[in-house]
Amino acid sequence: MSVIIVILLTAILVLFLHIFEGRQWVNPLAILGLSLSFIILCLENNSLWGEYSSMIYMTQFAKVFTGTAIIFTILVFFINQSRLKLEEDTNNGDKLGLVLFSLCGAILLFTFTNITMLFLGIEILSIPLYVIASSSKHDLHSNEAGLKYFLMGSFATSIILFGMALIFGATNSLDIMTISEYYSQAEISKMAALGAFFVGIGFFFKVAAIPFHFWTPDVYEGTPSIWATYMATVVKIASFGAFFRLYILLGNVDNSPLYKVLVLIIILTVVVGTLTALVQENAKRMIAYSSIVNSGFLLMFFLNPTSEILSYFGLFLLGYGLATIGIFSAIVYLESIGNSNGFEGFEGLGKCQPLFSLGVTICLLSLAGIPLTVGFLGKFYLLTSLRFDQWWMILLVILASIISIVYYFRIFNGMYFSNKKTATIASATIVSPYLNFVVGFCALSLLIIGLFPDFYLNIFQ
Amino acid sequence: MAIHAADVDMSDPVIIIATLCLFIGAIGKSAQIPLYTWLPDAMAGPTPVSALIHAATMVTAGIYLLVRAHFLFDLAPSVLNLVSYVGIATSIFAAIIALRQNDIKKVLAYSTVSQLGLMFVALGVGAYTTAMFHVTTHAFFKALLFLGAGSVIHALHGEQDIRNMGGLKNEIKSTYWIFLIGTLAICGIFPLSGMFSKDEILAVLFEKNKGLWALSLFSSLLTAVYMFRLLFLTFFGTYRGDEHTKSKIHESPMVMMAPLWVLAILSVFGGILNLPHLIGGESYGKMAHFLDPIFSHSKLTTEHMDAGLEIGLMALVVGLVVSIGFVLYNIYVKKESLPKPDMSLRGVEALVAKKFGVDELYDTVISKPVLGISRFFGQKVESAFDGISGFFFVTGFKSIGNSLRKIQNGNVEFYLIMMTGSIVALMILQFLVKI
Amino acid sequence: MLIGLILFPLIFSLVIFILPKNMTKFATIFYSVFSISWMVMVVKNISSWTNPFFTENYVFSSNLPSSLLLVLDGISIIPILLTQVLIALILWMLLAKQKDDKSVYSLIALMHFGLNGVFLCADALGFYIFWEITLIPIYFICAIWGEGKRMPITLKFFLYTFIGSLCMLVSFLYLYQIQPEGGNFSIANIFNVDMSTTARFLVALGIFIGLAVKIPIFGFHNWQADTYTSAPSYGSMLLAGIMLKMGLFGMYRWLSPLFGGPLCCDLQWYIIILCVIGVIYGAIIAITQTDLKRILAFSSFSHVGLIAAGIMTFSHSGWQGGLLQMLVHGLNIVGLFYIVDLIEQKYGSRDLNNLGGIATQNKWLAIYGMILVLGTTALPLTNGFPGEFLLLKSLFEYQFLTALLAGTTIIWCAIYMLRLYQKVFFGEESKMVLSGDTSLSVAEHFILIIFVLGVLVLGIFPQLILSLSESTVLNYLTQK
Repeated sequence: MSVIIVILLTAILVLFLHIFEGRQWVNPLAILGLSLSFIILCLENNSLWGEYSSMIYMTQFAKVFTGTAIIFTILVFFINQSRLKLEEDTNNGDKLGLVLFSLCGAILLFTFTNITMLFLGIEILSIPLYVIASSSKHDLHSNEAGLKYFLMGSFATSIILFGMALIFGATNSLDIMTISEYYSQAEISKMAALGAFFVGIGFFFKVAAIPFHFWTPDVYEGTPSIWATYMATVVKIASFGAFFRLYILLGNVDNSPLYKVLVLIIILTVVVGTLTALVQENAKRMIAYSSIVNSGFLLMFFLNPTSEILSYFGLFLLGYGLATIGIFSAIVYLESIGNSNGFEGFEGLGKCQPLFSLGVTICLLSLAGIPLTVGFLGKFYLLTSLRFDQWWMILLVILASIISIVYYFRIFNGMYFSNKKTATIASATIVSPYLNFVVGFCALSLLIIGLFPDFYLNIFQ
Repeated sequence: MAIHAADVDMSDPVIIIATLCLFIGAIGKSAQIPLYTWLPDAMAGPTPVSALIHAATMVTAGIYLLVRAHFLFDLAPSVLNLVSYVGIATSIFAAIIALRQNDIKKVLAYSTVSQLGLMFVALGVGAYTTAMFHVTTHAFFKALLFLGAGSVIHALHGEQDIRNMGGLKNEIKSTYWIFLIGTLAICGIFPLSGMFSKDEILAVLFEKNKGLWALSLFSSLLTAVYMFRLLFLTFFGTYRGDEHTKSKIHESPMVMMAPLWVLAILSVFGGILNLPHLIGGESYGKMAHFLDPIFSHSKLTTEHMDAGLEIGLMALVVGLVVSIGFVLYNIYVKKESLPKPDMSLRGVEALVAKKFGVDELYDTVISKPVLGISRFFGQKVESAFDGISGFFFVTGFKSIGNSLRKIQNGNVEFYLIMMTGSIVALMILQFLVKI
Repeated sequence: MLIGLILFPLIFSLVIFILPKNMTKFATIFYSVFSISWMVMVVKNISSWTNPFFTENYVFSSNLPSSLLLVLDGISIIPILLTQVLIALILWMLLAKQKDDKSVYSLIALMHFGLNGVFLCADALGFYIFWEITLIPIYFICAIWGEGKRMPITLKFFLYTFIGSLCMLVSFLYLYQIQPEGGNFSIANIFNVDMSTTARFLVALGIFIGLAVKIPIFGFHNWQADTYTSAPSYGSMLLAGIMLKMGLFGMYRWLSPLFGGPLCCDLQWYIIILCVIGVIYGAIIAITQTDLKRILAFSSFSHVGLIAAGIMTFSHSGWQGGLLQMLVHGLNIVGLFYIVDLIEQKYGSRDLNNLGGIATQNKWLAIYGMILVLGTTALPLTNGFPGEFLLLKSLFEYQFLTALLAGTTIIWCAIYMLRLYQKVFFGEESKMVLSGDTSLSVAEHFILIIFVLGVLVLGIFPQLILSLSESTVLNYLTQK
């Protein structure tokens, strides 16, 4: 469990360093700590191990997801570094500390074997985020986002807790192996079924599936873009990682207590998400809806869960996360030069920053599922995972992909095809090297893993 | 692979369709009804081009095609009949139009159409050699006439309207003689080449089909009418153009006249190629003998007819033509009556002057509808396609999206109620509804 | 060998970004000459002209049921040849135009990469991937350098083709999924499956929709004219000259193996009807258009319908004629687009109403234009004739009436092409023509002469091309 310990130590160090006049070192230190934890994660013995009375169990799946989450957090910190160049932030250490704590929660979600750990993970992940969402103290939108997130988040958490209580009542155990044994019986009690149902609902909220998505667009829009990036990627990965494990244990049985709900929610999420994304005028909100639609796609993996699908599920999440980070870094750049979040804010970017735009372009193409990118492979594996008697799901994926072209490509409209160069972009000629690095990293990984998916997929074995 | 023509069943519809299609091709190329309108219009080109392409060589390709494919047509007698009917109809129709034309080249153009019709009549009764013979002599004198007309136009600096000509025989003597030879040849005056070929056609028709013979004779006489009219109006009488042009009238240079004389000689002596037995004696029918091997399979080869009858027919035609010549001389030279201006024409005459309105008819029946359909497709149908795709991609989905987005109203209370409501609904779905 | 055809364009498209601007010209010429000579080398190395000439297989992921399987046979060699030649010519045109934006060259090279992949790849997933890749550069080319209302138009184009491709992908996925355990996407396996007639029909329909949008076939064509018009000239050339051939090529390799059985015979008949409707519909619209590019777009629509109909008869003459006509249409339409481009460059308009009398101003342009127009109208002894003849013959053998209707294409084509030629090159010189630049540069002469030679040489010796594909076509058709 040294990964969690290293991250925690880093977080505490960061908080102290912030107090003791070492502000310029806070961000590098956080990145360094995370890199160290990543290295430790890689070096750690591959065999399974459990700690804290076997309440945490690091499987290969958990390992890959933890690594992905750590890398995403590092990328977010790089974006943060570019911001620090431009503005003095006296609270940066607090924010980084909170994010690092929240990352610990995410790791718990990948590794839990006991549902109290699951609850702990969810809370550790979420509570720092309620603060982070309102971290832009003088911005009303940010405060509003924080409050909304908190209100609705606690609503969801309480529902999960309710479900857990019912599960405990039905099975008389908190250990998930025992619980899953109970659920694999032919006949389960009403209470157990209700328990699984409520836990599922809570997670539908966390992964932003419609109709439990209401917080997503408002919170993404209000939260400062850098932390919205973290929410859209790491939190998404963490929730899905936990939900997928849980679903395999509780829901993946004949007469599943979640199947009908799942199907309905997938349809709602993809259809409503897609159609609403189509009419957004703000890039951040559009990304929020795109993240909702992608949740719908990811939920489709739940329909036929097999052990192979784990790796494809991971690949889809990886593609989604990298592309989203790439696009968010463009939004951060535009905000830093004072452009709006609307699509018109992108105008002239392609002419003034050709390489940076190329990176963003690749990220967008990946989100849209164009070949040679991870995004395409993710959708391809999603389609292969669906059976042809679920043809309406395939149809849904196809239609949503087609319409998604329209709203993703609206960013191209501004970026390349507008003839006027926005004055602000032209004057701010330099993109921070950190942002360039992040976009370059995302774009290249999307291409390389898109060409050679074995790099990623083989780690799962 | 080779199937001998003789093996094909005469009643096989394939042979009818095939020959019909070949004939339609020939109609287009050789300007027969209903596809003749292009030829007079093509006279916009320079006269040497008209002489070569539109009179002597290209338009006869249709005749040549039928002659070459005669073994097929022999198998489809019904199509052959059609050939002769189309031919005679074209011949008379074009000749009538030619009567009221005032453009020197247009008259010659319709004359060409008319002569081609005669050739088709000959083909239709299986007289292939005769048709080829007329093709040859027609090439001589029609090229001569066209070039002669060109010389006239050249002399008058581009004037083509015969109402503005007249009396040119004294101004441009050489051209006059040439034109005279051409006219006499086409009208079939003994012993010029046209007489032999035309007479042969009439002789054959007389044997095969008296009705066709009568109609063809009528057509030949019409030829004489419009050609003499053209000759007299152009070269006789007094000049009717303006003084300025008159002062500049000049004979064409030698380089233009030399080929005309060559053609004139050919027009005079071209008949030697295929003299009738009656006149040629031992050396009769050279062309027929030359072509014999090709037609040896043909079942419709003609026989020689009675000598007395042949002379009679010849004399009849020549006599009629000559008398027509005199009548017209009387009208146009003695009385100096002029073609009336187009505006004052009434009834049938006006219709003829307007070429029976066929051009306009085609324009309204074919060109305008096609253009209309084209615009309809290009504007209406295409924009309908646009509309359908636009509806699905933009309007339809966007309007649904716009109403869906209203749910996202920013009100937390509303959100929480929605979520609670959803939970209840989902619970009912999951636990109470049986699907 | 074959991998070179795919790798070099990709490498070039990256390298050109790094090279300094003054090297662009040199690098582009080197690249175009190199890719043609590589192709020549490949052809020279063909030892036996039986099916297939070369096969190469590169596995690069154990997790994908697919590999980079490249096959060069008598059917793919023709579009491959066409691609190399046209890409080189289009690059030269850009150089002659002194276009110095590096990203254009890069995008065209990326396009080249995708096109070669589409024609060579005999793995369904690989085919689909390359198929989609070609869409990206052409989208950017049309949208960045296009004119008019290019945004909605290019989006429409992208959506149309993307919908089509996804239908095709679903069909391929189905074919993959019904294979027994351990199946993959290679062409040998993917069509070697048992399915019900309904499934076969639906799968064929899905693939057909994908191809039909690209070709385009009537009903799927709405993007075409607008896109051709608003795209920059080289974009239109890429679209009409090569991209369109992707669909036709797909019919040979990816659609024909599915045919047979009752429902598919119906589908074959419906497709041919759509094609024939397209032939006439496109031609009729072309008559009243005034924008030269629109005329060419509808002309191309009409011509390609005939090719598709011929291929769908699955007969020897239809397939051979289709292959020949693919090449010929590519050459002619690109040549004509180039002439339109030159007219627009020199006289500042490509509207029929603003043009006229160019023949007196610029007789060489008129001569080249005449030859290309005649080639397009399929005059005997020009390259359009043999292919069109073979195609009509195949249709005639299939069904008399369709042949009769499709045969009118020659008349229609003569109407709109000669109208175009008359209005542009003959008649009174218009104001714009009088004030225009009348000379042709050496480079422009050079490029146009290549097209003209193509018209004449292929018109007189169509056997040059037909012999390349003869044995493969026979092989395919006997297997069916």
